[in-house]
Amino acid sequence: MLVHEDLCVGCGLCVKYCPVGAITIVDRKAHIDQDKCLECGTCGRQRIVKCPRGALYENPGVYTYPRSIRKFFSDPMAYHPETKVPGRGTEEVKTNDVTGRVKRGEYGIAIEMGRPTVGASYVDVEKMTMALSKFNIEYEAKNPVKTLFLDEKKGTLKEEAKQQSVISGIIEFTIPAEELEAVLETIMETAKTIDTVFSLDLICRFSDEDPYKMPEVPVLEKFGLAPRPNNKINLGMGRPLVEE
Amino acid sequence: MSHTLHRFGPEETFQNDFPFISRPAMKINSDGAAPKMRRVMEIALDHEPVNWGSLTTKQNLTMGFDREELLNKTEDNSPAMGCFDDRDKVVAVLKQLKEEDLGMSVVITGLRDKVEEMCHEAGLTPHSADLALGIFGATELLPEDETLCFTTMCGHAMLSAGLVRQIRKAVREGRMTPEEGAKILAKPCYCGIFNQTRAAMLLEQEKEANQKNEE
Repeated sequence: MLVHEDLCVGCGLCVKYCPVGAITIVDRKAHIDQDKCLECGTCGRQRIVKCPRGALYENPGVYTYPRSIRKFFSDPMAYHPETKVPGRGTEEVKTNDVTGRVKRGEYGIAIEMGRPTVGASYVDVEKMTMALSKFNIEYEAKNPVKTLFLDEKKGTLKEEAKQQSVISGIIEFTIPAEELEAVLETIMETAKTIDTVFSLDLICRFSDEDPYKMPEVPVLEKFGLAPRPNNKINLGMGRPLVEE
Repeated sequence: MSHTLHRFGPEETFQNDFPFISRPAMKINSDGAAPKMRRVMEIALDHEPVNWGSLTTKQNLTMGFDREELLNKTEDNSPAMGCFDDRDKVVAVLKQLKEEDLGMSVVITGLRDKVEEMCHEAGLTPHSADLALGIFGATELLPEDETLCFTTMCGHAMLSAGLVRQIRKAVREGRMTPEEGAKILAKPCYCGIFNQTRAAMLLEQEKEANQKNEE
């Protein structure tokens, strides 16, 4: 984002709305640190911030690679050109009743680097993908992180991507159930080496035996993990319902 | 994007918090889905969600919501997104969706016992779960818990910790009502999954606790 300095009156209204603290007032004008700005676009949304002079505007170069990485992984209203889905994620559990992406005997894993609130550099994303390279992981094809790999098997990312920071990037894949313990061990070890936070999701199927009972994942206890009480449930209303 | 997951806070503050998402699966049942998605939105909006949003029209309920504009701009790939603060309303929506059998996927986020109970009541069999296992890494970089309770209601992280702290302070000092504060905090979340009722309750609780400490 950029500032029309001739319009800005330095009121500071925009400062508190920036999720990453990229805006300061310098010489009675709003100043946006271009290294810190993740191009989420929030400060320029007049219906939210109500800048009295409409002084904040989108950088015209923000859709040009590699700056565009910031935009597509930070602004939920930016449609990624390859996924055609707004934001940085995928349909994940939302349509699993129709897509069958995560089947019985499998787990879906999403490691959302930078979430919540902190943001992430792709250097940190690469630390995680390189650590996971010892597994034979096929990353989710529709997740935009997939487009940033230099060598997917080694988990390395393109150099220009590693120069970018974003609100979050989601490392997303599905594994056989028997690999869960080893994968979680790797994730938890790598957590000690990164300079940001990540949220960890686990997608699984309900069982046929007791369709109203939340799936149990005993291996989580080994890592001191317990799912939060509030979770996201696909209600099985999509058609055609996937057959397995 | 699991943006309705990882909502942070004490369990009791989620008793009336039910983010709702419905969408088609791209290239499977998305062709010609626009009328079905429009109908999903009509049914949900008829049952008065506490919030509703649209990435297409770039608005949510707290901004002054144009229902017809939203419905008229529904496309094959438009998701329906919002939040309810009343489990009975959610059950009513689910029952109607089941009756009309529109075939669009539906996801509810909430306390597991409550969602399971609602499924049972609506005659639905849950298919899959996305479990929130927690936040890891350099957690010392996170804002304080009291602020995370609000910022995590926008899973895309559009709500800044600085704004939350300012509103919390204004409410504590009596310069703003909890409801006024909640409405300001809801605006940056264009998806409309921010729950103003829960936010107002959290602000009220903090204000009361602050007053007790001062006595």
